[in-house]
Amino acid sequence: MSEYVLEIKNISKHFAGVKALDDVSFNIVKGSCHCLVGENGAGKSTLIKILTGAHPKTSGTVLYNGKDFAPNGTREAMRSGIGCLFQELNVVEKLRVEENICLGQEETKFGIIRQKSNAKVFEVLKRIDPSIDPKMLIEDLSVAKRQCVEMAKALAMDSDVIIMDEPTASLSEEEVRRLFKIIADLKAQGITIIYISHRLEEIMELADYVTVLRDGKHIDTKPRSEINTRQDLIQMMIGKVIVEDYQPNDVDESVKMIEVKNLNNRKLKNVNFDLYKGEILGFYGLIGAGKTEIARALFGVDPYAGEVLVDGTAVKTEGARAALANGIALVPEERRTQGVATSLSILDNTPMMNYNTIATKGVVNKKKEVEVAQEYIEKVGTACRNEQQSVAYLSGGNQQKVVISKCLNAHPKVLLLDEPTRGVDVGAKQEIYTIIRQLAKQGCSIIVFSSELPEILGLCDRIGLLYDGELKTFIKNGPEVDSQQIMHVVTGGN
Amino acid sequence: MSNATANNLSKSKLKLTMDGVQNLAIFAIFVVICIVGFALEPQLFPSKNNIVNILVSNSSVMIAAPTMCFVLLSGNLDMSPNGVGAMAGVLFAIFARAGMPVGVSAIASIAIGAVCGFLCGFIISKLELPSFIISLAFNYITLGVALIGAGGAIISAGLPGNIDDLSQTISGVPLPVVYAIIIVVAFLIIQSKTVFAREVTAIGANSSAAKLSGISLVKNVSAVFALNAIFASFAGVLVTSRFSVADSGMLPGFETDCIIACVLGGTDINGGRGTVFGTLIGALIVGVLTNIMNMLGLVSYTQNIVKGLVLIGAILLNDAIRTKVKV
Repeated sequence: MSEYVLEIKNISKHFAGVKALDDVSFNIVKGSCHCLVGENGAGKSTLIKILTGAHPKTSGTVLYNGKDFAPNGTREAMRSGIGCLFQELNVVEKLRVEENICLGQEETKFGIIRQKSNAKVFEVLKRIDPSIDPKMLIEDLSVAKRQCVEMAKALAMDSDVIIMDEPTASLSEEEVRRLFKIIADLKAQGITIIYISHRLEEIMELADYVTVLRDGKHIDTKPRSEINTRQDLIQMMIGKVIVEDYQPNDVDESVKMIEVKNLNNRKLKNVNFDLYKGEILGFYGLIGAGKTEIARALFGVDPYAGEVLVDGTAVKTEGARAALANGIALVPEERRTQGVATSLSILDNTPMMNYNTIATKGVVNKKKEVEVAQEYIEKVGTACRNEQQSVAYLSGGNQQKVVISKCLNAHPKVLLLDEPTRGVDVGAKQEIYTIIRQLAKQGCSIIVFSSELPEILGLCDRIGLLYDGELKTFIKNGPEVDSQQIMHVVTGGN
Repeated sequence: MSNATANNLSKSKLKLTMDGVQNLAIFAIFVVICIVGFALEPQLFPSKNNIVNILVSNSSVMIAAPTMCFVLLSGNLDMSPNGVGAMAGVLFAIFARAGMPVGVSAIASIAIGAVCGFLCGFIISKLELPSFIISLAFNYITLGVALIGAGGAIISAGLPGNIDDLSQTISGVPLPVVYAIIIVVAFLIIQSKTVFAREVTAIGANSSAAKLSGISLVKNVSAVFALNAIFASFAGVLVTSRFSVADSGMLPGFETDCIIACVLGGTDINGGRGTVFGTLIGALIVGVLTNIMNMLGLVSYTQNIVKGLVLIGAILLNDAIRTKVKV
């Protein structure tokens, strides 16, 4: 029997023409803790989804214990021994711990649940965390304990591979310690752990092997012993960042469009910054660093404490309507759920933020409505049949252009863009960058919130680095910017 | 289906819309049903009497269905028209019996209905509670008020002689039909020409996106529920006026009749899609179908089965249009 529990050979995965994984091959040693690292969008999640049967692969093979493995759905993968703790936990909050554990695998007779089933799970759960009472409701448990429940489920199915996708994202320090202890125990039992995290110090601590993915490609797999410092990892993760055609914008530093003083809320800790006229300001950080929270606070849709001045006047923005009235517009993080109404047409979506451009006193001028929609289709270059086309049938990039059209129609002085090119193909990305640069040229002040470093380095004049709700530092963009240093800061280094 | 070569925005003249396709389909079905009616009863079916009859018996639904369409557009359901309408009808009789002029009584009872509707919508949108349950609760409350108001029975004695002023027939056309036509036309215009309709549709299509676009959920949802209550109340007042009797059970199944008209007409029960025109045709389909079945002498049980089947057919058709036609 080979020493490898999983052999991944030439795996590719294409989504509507986008290569999420491109010819990835590496092996996972039995009983090891194998860490997967990479920036957002590097292909980690896609790989996990293939291993757990959530997505079929486009090409390539996976050997599991030497045998060809192509699970048809997550259940089948679980049955064959690959368990997964997903980023979003698969527990039903309204049910008890024991009910969750048995969910979907209840031993039944004529549809009636037989008692005393899954005794094994309880045993496992007890071993992982004796403080969890099976009678408790899941919603009363902390996230860490919910993870323990999930883990017990996976272990009880005799999994010999357990995948953990960002398991520590919402854990306290103490809970993280406990998890690491559990991982060590599991390894001692010969169980293989595939561990995914953005937190490099965890990787350095846990890993036996590290695999780095970048832009869907396999960069390298190394034993931990060959990695000396976090810097080595960072270098593997980001490769050579090419700061593509960053051109300084015409920033007027005498005019502060936005001043933020001591912004605090559930996530943010004392954030202070200014935004100048005509500037493109970037906020960079990994998932959960507080980018979206800053955007939402400025847009008035999340509560905050602190002072915000727009164009020199203090405002207490409550609700999107007030923000728009103050001249701030937001391209939200989630395009399909927050940005556009996909069942409606471009014509219906375009004026949503500001009906005044198509109506007087609440009465719509239908000619104007069509003109406005067409104007922005041309301005931002939305590829569509005509303005009556449902947004649902546009590509991701074009949907995002509709969101931008919506914002532009509100004539903002300040435009906030949260992950403006997430899930957008390369061509459309460049087009969106061009739109952003043009807007800055026209005197609009812009803040880009992104977890893609090349995007930030290509667009922004200044870059704010976020880690865990704190604004660590600001750096001025330019050829001398050290992307490794940036990576160091946003992964928790000093 | 679509004009594939029409790439140039300004040159393509006829632009297909999802609503357009849907309305065309539903109208075609309506025409087919009418042809069937004509074939079965060539003399009786197209007679003026019969047409007026169809319209009168559907006037209540035609009066309240356009606003119900707006409620559905906003992504909500209103289960209260039955109770609200009955309450307004009973209050109308009580006010008129107490000596208030008929017109004033009507306006006062409709206003009370409107307040109920507003409250219902306000609670739903402000506290983000499910509309089905909250409006059902309002249905019980208003129905209870109607029952108490009518003393557990009906109000017929002591009503002024001119209480039927509101529902007279003028040169062969009953006023309720006139109201219904005016209301439908008004809402056709409102849907086509107002920001209000755009905002309501946006909320139903994606409430998060609408919220992040600065559209007020509370204002709009309260408004659609208030409007729907106004027209449900008006329908109740008209029934009391027409029969010179106020009965708390005057509008059985009114809310479902309105919802069925909307859904038959292509309104999406999940919100964000639907037209007043489709709703009108939906109401007429139910009316004509019932009329034909009455002429054929089908008992009401059989009629219920047929209506149920038609409803399923309509949903299947709408679903097919939505998934197959990519406009």
